[in-house]
Amino acid sequence: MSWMGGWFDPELEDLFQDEPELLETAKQVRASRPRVEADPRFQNRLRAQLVADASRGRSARGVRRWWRVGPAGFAWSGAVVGAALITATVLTFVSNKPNDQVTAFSQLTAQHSVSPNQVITVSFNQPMNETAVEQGVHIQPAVKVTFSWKNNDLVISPTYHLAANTPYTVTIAKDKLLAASGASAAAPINITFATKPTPTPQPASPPSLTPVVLGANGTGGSLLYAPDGSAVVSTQGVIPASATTAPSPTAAPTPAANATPTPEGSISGAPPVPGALVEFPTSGSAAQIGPSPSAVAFSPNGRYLAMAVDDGNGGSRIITSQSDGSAPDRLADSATPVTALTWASNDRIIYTDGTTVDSVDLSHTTNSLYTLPSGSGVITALATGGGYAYVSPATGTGGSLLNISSGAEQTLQGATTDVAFSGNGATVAWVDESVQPERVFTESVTQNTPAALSMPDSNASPSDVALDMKADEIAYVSTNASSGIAQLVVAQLPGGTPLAVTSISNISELTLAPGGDHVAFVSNTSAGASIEQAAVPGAPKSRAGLSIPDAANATLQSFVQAQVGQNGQPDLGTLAALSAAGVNAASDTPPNLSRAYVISTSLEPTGVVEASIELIVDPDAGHTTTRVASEQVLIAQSSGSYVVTSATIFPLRNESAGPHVVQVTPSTAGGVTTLLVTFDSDLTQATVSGAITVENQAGVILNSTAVYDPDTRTATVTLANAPRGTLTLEIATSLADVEGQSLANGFQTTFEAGS
Amino acid sequence: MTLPRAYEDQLVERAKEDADAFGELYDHYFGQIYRFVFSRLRDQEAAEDVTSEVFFKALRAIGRYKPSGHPFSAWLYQISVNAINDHYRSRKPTSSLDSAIAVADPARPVDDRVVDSAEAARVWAAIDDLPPQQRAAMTLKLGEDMKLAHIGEILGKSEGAVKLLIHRGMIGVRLRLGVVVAVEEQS
Repeated sequence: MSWMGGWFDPELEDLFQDEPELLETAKQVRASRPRVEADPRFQNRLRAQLVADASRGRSARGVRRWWRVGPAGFAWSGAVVGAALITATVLTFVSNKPNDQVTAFSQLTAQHSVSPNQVITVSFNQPMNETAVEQGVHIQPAVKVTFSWKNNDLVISPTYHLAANTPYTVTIAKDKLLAASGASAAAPINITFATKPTPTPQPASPPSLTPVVLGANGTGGSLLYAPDGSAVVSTQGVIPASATTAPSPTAAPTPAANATPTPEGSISGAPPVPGALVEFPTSGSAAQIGPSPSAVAFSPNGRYLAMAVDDGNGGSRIITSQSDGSAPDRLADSATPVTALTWASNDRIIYTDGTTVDSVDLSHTTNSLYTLPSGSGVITALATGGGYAYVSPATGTGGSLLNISSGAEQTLQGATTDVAFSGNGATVAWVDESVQPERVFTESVTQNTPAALSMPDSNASPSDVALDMKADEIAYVSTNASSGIAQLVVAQLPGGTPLAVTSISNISELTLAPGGDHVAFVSNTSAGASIEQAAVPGAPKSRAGLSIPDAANATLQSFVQAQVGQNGQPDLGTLAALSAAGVNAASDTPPNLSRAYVISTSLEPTGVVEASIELIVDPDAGHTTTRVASEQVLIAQSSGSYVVTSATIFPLRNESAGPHVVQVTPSTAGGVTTLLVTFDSDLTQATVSGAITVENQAGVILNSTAVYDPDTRTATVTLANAPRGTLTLEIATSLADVEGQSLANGFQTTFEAGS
Repeated sequence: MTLPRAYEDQLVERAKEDADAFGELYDHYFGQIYRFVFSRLRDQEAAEDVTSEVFFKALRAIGRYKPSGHPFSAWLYQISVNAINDHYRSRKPTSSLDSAIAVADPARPVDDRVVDSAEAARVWAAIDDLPPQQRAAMTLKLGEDMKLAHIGEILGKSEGAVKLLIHRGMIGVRLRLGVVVAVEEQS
């Protein structure tokens, strides 16, 4: 018999090994077993009810024939949301009912974690008037769709996929629910469901640096960038013997010590000249621009160079020249060797021998500004502007930031010798060597509010810190305490998000270009020392408050997640832990939240992070419209961590029809500011460009372009040469979705743009 | 297809709090539970009733479920066996196997269905008349291709006891089919 062939069950073969007739019967029984598959409509229906009941809490409802309901259809009652999720929905379904009334159900009913790639299937109990039904379909938020039919099932396929993490309501109007037989429906169909969030992308590993050798270096010395970033200058540079110098000095006297240029300015004869002030341009030949100084600095306007050179008698000469080394001018002498100098202004120089701070202007007038008390340590660095200096401790750690004019000192925790000022002198960075692993702090020189830098390797110690002009970036060497492997890290400030990380060994004299787009260092090998430079991948030349610190973002995300909480209840413990004293967000947070959107964030000049949030209650059987509560949150640093200092939550309101902004992300790179504005709805493309404007603080509309990508529901707004500072994005109500619904209210948000 | 045990244990734990996780369990086990129930009742409406009862009972009780080393499916089958027995106590199945096969595979040629349905009806009607434990063991083994050990977990019996149930059940079927029993059965 055909049903006997092929099947083999070793257990039964063993059991009936001596009774072949019983084995034969067993095979006959198995072969004749019913090949039944459940009705998929029943399977989907049961699933929807189970999940809905599970979401509400375990149902005590009787189960006998529970899904067979009366002629009026079955609508789940109760609006209690469970598990912080979308739950019940209106489900119109009648099983085994005469086809005198149209009924339907959807497999998405009561599901709250639907894939954005899901199609929406609505199953009817009889053949339908397809054209009429399609005309009656309305989806909120609007989705561009195509319709197809499979027997009695209407398949609604989004053209671009559904939006992630979004509650949807699919409505089919009652008057369009017409069967092919002419039967009609007792009520419209409302199907509510929600899509799951897209996985949070893991941060990509920061790119590596690709250094190129600019030239050779002698022993020691230091590096600095030319004001325009076009060249690296070494105080101990070595140029090839064949090279020639920059323009000849025209003004006498030329400093003698260590200086090798001839009065005419040409470097002549081999061998190579070590230990000179050499400029290594990014492109072109190296050129000596002066003798090797003990300290050197460009003037704020970049036109002049000031240097301290050995006078041959144990002291220093303060010399200025044009930025290319030409026209040197001896301004002043110091009986003691000058260890650091900087410019207070474009015509005044500040210098120190470690104990005293003096000034000299271009008219050769000198002043004594400050003298360190005996035994108080050593002044090792001067901030541009001359207002502040760093005093290295005489012993141990805990150097101090010295206000030169007042003499006031502020301890920099754990600081010893690894300290750097930003190019504009407004920010100081230092390595705290009082703890292990060591860490980096930064702070404004005028505020005693140190901020710890987040480092990619928490088990590493930092060293060789350097800042760019405006402290938008920091560079440091990170050495893992266990492996000893060192990495060069260039990171954003504040926060410390790495822009580039690359393995290195034996480097020193780390320095950042003024714009942060390049980093230079001396690489020391057994073959000698070379000066190398690398472009920082992706580093914008100007960045001002466009990204919030990672730690602040972590606080924000955790805070919002705690507001959504679990089972419709906020996580009170986490909210309290993330809130500053006096902030009681829990009492104002609406219950039964389903999700939340962080619409926009901005970093204020004070370091405070401001965030605009929308708290969402998904629709359910008791309230079929999505509800929204707007929230404004402020986050600031306190005791080294970020906390919520203010949370203003507005009352819940019904979400309006039409499109909504769900995220605004600004960025600036290369002088171009870009805003990514993401919507929850598919938009009518022609309405996008004209509805979006950007204004400056004076209310002047700036030139911008807006390009809409329907696949991501995102408009990219581009502003070339946007002015630095606070700008306002406005979206007018002329913006419309594919169903022709307009933005209910004008949208407005501010953001910080770079210059 | 069996879920990896560790994953299944985690899924069951999550299902105690997470509706989605329960939905995933349902998705995985619905087919086999429904087939088992249907094979015992052979009536679509009754099978849907009992299957829904099985899963609602599981939903209500899953919070008290503790892994016993057996697959989660064993627990569902236990609920199913009890639900089927309850159903039998309340009423006997009323529909014929013809309707079952029609539901199962309406696309099959009518001639095949007639032949098969006659044979199948005769065979499974014989199983219907077996005592409940034999009936359950036979259905799980020959309807679900389940291992003897697994059947024992569901029925709360040893593997040897299950063998005995199947052995006796097979003889009972043959008797009911009018086949001369060739061996002495001392049931």
